[in-house]
Amino acid sequence: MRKVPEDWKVEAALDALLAEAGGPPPDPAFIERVMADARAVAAARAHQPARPAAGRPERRRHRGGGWQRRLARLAVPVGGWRAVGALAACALIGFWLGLAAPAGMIMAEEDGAEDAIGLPLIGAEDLLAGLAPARDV
Amino acid sequence: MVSESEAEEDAALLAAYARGDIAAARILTERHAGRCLALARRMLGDPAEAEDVAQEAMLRLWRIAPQWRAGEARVSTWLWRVTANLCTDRLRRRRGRMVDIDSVPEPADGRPSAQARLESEERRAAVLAAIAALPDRQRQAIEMRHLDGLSNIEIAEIMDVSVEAVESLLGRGRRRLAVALADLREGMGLS
Repeated sequence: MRKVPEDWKVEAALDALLAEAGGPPPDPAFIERVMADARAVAAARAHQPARPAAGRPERRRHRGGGWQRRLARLAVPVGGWRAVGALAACALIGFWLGLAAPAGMIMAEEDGAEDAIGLPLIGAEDLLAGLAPARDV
Repeated sequence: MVSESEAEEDAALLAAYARGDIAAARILTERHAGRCLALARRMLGDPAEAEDVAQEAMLRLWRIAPQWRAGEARVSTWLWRVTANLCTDRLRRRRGRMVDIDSVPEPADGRPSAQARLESEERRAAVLAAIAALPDRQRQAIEMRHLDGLSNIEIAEIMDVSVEAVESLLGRGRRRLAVALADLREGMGLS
């Protein structure tokens, strides 16, 4: 009969000791508690709306590059893009009115100018005189 | 021990569980809950607390199942890390308390006789003491391989070393253990 090498016996004995050192198998009640958790999580998930499959939460992404992000940040203090759009539209209308000087507009400086119901309009000099402090009083 | 195909199978089982397959969860539980429990028992020394930790680790696996990315991590090493971290947290909370290997529960009734159980427990305590006396990295490698049932590839991943380095650590650790446990081997009639 062939003799088993000493090293083999040592290895086998060591494996037997290490296998024994692993400890007792888990209690069936413990396994059932783990399975109860698995069922509860699956049941809760079944009642939730579908979530994205990605491991990390999805982040909102700006479609544009860096300058667009900077512009977006600048718009925040004045109320966002809508407010900036409204401000820009008002500025453009004012600019157009200034340039075009529509024919229907009555200039206050014109002598004898009257408004639509016939009352005389106050001239710019009169207005300024009213605002200025009275020096000779 | 967890082979490559078993690791792939674990990922597939977890994906099946995420789709609502409870039978897949049963296989994963039978495969991994015992390993988590063994690690927690060894680290905490308290069987009841170890069960809590192992259950918590498995619960985290169930919760993360829909987000699991196959190929990025192994279920076995992920669970090992989660269990080890949970144990470390608990040990921090009760710092100073010594791990008592005698606190491992007695086997249930219907097992070998009291004398045989006593001898088995004595051998087990001696083996655990011999493992605890090993240099740190040899001890970690031996514990992961022989007590937690991880493969060399998985141990290499956890220890962040090459598989060859793990083989070397295991070889040196086993040689030291063989010397330290010579008396026990004689007692078992294997020397």
